[in-house]
Amino acid sequence: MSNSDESLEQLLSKAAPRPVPDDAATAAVREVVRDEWRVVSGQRRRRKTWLSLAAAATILIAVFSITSTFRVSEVELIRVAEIQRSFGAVFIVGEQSVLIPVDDLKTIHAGQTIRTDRNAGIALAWANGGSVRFDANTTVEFRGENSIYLHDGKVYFDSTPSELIAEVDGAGIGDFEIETRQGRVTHVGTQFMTEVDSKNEKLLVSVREGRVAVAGRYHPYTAVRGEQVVFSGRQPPLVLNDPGYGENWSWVARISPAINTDGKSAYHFLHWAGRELGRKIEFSDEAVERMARTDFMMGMGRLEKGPVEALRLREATTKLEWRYKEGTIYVSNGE
Amino acid sequence: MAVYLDDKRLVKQILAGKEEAFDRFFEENFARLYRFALVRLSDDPDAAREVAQLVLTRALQKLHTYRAESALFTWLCAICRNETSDWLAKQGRYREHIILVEDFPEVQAVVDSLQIPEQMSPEHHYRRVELLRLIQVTLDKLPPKYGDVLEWKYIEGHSVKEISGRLKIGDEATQSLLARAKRAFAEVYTTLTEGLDQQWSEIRQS
Repeated sequence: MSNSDESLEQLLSKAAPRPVPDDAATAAVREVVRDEWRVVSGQRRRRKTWLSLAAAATILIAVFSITSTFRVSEVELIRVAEIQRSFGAVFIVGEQSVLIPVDDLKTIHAGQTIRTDRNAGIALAWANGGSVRFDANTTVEFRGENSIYLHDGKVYFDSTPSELIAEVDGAGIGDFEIETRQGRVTHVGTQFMTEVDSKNEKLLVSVREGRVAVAGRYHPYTAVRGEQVVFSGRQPPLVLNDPGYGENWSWVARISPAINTDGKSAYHFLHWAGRELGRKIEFSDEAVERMARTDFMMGMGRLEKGPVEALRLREATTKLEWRYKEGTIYVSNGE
Repeated sequence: MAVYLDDKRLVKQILAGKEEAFDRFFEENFARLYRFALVRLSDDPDAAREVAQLVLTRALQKLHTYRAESALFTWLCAICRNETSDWLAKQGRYREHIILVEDFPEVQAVVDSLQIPEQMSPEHHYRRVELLRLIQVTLDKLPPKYGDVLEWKYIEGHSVKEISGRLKIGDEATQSLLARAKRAFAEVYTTLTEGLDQQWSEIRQS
């Protein structure tokens, strides 16, 4: 080692490590700067696209005017979901983030962004199967047949909803992803909820059933039933217990879509309610379970009241009785 | 005139919306700008974070004007100087008395004055603190990987093996990187400290 090398190393060893901003601050700044970058690069790309389109259009017009052959190609709209139920004010986010109120929106196409107002909610039948719901104050961009981008708010997803739910394919769904700024959430046959807080600093994934793979910006994690995982900046995921029912989940049942009950047994009805409420069904004995399987519902048609109210109404027309016991709906013959 | 091709390419990719380019831009510059601002803002970490954030957002807005005639970080530092002054003015905290040696247009070398006797006058003490601080400044002026390996090896005391693991490269590649980093450090540090004595004597006389 040369003298100059040695003195250089001595010199370096005298210095203190360089100060660094803490992880939380860095993550927060990164998000703000990233937002700005998206705006800047988006504008430039749009400008570039427009210029390219303008140039292309000029050429096309020239070609068409020469050949006098005009053909208009069809624009393909990709239908991603049907709205099954909604309440409160719902908006489509237009150009420059203008909110356009929609009263009679039935179908959602790829490329649209939906915003629910406070006290609003939407339940969707996903075109590829599955049930998706948005809570109040939620903004979601529909990116394609298998993915949405959650800007903020709460999304609930059930890959294999009850067959009672009208117009939903209960046979299960293929790929479905929820993108957020903090990471990507992919279901692995499940019921789960994804939440992004209003400051966009945290991603929360709560799993009611099955497993959910989360590719966080900094850490991956596969959450399982009964877990709530919190991703915040570079911090390792924080894993909490979540029973899958109660206050955190109440909004999901509030937006529960209508069900067709005619010809369905009390057994199926109870399992629908249990799935919606995140509670398992327990019969007091086998005789009660047999009774539930043979007790068919007739003349009630579509029920739009949600599981709590539906349970109350149905109890008046059956010999069965039920009561909530922590994570269980306990069913007996009422004797 | 030199053209910083790597930086030019990076900027082009950032403007084209490439996620990896943005990540690299942020990773390589945020902490360095934070330190650049920190020392100019009385070591106020919140203010430094705010200013560094402002610099990066302003830079993104003006990125299309970057001509790669200086290193990207140098360009960002120029914005940072303006943002720091604006921030201090807005806070009513403008300070006329803090002058950083690296902000002089001409600074001169005194690498050898690092061997400073234990009994120091206040001026010697100040010089020593400044020289040691200049080490951090120099590390930030180097390509990010150079600054990191030097800090890990000689300041934090990690072994070559540990650094290799961190960088996911072989030990030989790490040794080579360290050698190049040391050469670059010596060059930048010498430039930065050139004329320090002379500048101080000018300050004393003024």
